Amino acid sequence: MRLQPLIFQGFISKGTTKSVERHFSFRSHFGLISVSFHDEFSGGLVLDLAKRSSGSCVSHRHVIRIFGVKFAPKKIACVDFCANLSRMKESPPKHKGRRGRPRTVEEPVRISPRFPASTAALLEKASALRGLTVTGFILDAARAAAERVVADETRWQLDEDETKAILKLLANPPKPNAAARKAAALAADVVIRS
Amino acid sequence: MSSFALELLDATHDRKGFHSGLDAIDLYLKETARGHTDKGVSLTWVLVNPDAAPPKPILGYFSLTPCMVEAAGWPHVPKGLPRNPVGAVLLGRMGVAKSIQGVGLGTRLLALARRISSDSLAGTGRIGMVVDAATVELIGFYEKFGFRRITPDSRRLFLPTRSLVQPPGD
Repeated sequence: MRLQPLIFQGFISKGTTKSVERHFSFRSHFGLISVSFHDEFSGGLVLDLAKRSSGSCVSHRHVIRIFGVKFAPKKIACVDFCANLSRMKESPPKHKGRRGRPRTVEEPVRISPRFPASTAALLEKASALRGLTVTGFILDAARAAAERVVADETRWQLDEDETKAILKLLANPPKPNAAARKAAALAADVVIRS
Repeated sequence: MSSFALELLDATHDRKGFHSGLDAIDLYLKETARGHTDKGVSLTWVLVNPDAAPPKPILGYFSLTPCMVEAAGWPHVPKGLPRNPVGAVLLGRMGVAKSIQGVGLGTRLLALARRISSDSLAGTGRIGMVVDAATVELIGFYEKFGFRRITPDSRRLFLPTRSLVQPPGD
């Protein structure tokens, strides 16, 4: 099996992406491709690109563009993707005798936020230290922050004092006081529609 | 004829027109609440006039989120909470429109949040209601209704399920 460098421009057809947070598949002109992102692997971003329906995998370095985000392996410390390249051809999609309009492909979108120069420099330095592209770095950081927000919202980790305080309250629940009873009476005529 | 109606947030409500005076409270309603309510992450209930026509002005709102409370694994912590996280409900955000603050809508909203939560709390073995007061000044508001601060330097308060449920005959 001979490996050939491959510029994958990520032709993503409409309606075929499954945007499950870290794992999705899409139809490209190579066929159905599933991608999973792993973070926290040697501090870098690892991209597994595996062609479904094929068992054999090889590793190679490539430029990949997914959802308009360009992953340049040179800059990413450990981009590693497995794909059966022998079956992948760089030819454009063929419309095998299909009638009607050729299938439209969704153009990747590029977003370019503007940062203050000092922030941009800092981002560049930090991402270089981690061996990531700036985009990869921002994505990583943003996801970590988002996960923290979700965890904070739905999980309350008690420290020792808090545990004691909660236990004390649970053992001795205060009775609804006069203010609470009055409030309940005040709200008694509110209709709840759901 | 009732004075107000409480509804689950949907497209008929005027989210953009809601101003409470606290940006975080307004922003959540404007940008996050619909998505969370649709996905069931947390439910946002809004207080409206019962005969308002869409887009219905929002007089006040609160959001309820199921949350997990995890006890510290310290060896000398007294027994009582299981090691596994236990369920509670979080009254994450609550706000009243600035133009009608001071007439008891917050009191009504809190009572409604308790009414809605108490059945499911008692029925599913959740330990109580957690409240995040939006500002330090609002801590006293919740304390008035029995909520207790867990640590002196936090805006988080707690009320056990058994305190939420109105004992019969009261």
